[in-house]
Amino acid sequence: MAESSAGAAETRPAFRARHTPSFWYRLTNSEAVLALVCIAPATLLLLFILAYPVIQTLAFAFYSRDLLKAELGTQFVGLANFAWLLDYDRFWLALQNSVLLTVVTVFFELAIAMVVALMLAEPFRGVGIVRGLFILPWAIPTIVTAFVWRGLFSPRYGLINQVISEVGRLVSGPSYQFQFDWLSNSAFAMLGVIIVYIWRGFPFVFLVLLAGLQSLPQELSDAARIDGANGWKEFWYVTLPQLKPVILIAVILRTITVFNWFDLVWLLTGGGPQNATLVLPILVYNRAFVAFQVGRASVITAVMFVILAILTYFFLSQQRDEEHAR
Amino acid sequence: MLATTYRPVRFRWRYVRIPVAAVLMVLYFSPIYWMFKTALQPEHEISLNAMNLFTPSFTLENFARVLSEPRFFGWVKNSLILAIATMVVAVLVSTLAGYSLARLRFWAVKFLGRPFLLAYIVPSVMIVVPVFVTFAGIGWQNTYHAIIITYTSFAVPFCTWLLRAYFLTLPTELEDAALIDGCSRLGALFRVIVPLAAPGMVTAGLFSFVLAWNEFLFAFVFVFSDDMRPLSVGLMATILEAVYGSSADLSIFKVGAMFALCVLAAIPVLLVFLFLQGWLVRGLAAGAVKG
Repeated sequence: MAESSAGAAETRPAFRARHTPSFWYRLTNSEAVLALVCIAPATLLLLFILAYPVIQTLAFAFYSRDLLKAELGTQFVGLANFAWLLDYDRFWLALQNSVLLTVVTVFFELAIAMVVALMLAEPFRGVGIVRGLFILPWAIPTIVTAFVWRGLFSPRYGLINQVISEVGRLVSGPSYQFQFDWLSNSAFAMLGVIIVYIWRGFPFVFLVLLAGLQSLPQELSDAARIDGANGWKEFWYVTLPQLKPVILIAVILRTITVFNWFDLVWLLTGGGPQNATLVLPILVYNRAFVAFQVGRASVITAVMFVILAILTYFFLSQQRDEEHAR
Repeated sequence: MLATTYRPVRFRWRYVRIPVAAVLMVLYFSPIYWMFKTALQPEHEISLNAMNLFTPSFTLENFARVLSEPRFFGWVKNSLILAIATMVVAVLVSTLAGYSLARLRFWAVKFLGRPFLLAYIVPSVMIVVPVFVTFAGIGWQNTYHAIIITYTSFAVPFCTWLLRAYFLTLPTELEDAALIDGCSRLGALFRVIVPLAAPGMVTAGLFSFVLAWNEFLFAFVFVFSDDMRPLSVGLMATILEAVYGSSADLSIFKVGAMFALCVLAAIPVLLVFLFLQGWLVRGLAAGAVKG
């Protein structure tokens, strides 16, 4: 008895010493330090690659910088670039085209992806392969997508003209040949670009919605059906409200991507014919890399940035309201 | 018993959805079908403008022509290097960041995490020049690591968001058990969390791999030497030369061969997607719910 209490008295100081940790121990075992160290690589990457160029771009919107007139250098011009933009007809045309392209593309992507996701949410034999097939366009490089679709729309060997020709041959004899250059027609070019955008963007929306549908609890749907809801009512009043956060995320990401999408439309039409598919990213490219007017390209970028920032803030606040409502 | 008694509505829907899905699939796959068909068609049929929806004469001559082009294998090798490196770095960086956001409690981290997805509102056209100038300033022009860092920074916001959400769905008890057993926090992350988060990790990895494999604008601007070009840039150069150039003496620049090249560029990723789609859905499921 006495021995053990003496032992306890002896160990107490040692016990205290071990739990008054050194500075180094606290540094290496602190959750705050570990949290910062873990997030540092990602943050530094984004600061270096994204934040710095953005700040530079926003700053250049207030300067005149013409690479073809290098002797003028970089001059501070205040709001002159913004004044130029207000009078620049092509900007308003491109803004109109961009908004049209984004709204129509995102809406139809969502609508079609919702139908397909609902059809493929419940398992049947071979569902994995069918789902896998529906996300294939995501895996095809942009350059291949543009090339194949240009071929599909092409007047000489395009699939669309071939199908019309086949039907025409059945109707009016074997010599019928349909030739129409879809992407060179200013009335159809935008529609063509929208179709390609939907085709290419569909897989991501489909996957997100499918994942969202699969993680919904089954109980609410079952309850609705017991209460006598038909398929449509069950979808509209039970499934859709539960999916709202997922749909919001899909809309945010797709709106941003489509609004900023440069390479696909550039490779498909280059903004033509007669500026029918001129969108803001193409306008930026033409100002910066064809006309070499960095200041003016920056002011267009700044406007795009502000539009997207406002939209994203609006969508995110919607989502936050959702979270509070629960 | 109960499950089968109140499903008459579902039952009719099941008969409708298969034909509807079939029609949608035919429309949706016609471009891919057409790409494969043209790649398998003899060149003279394409150039004679005598093409039909279904070609009776299949040939592999277009593929043979692409595979006899020595530059093709160089492009594939370069694309693989870029895509695999991007995948590894992006997943590692995003795992750490996602873990930090999901599990470690520190006010600054919450503050840093919010704007991660906002990175996507930056139009890529405009950052090509500043990023290129920065890399040229430190002597990294025409190098792979500049491209890998750029691609990684494009993949990281989405992957971090996805992995953070996935980590949030895992029970903390397993991690606590590992910590009590004497594991460090990072040890717990890599030995307990990472194996459990496999669907999320696979999804993040696929997303980064596809992004790097398909991207061409930055690779086009950053790489000048011919032997360092990835497949996407090689493809674009080939197509541009075929459409606008006069170098018709090179046998690869034929329509059929270009389609064969397109098929070969798409096939590796197509196969990966077909086999891993179940993982993709599971990986996104967590992210989609948590937002």
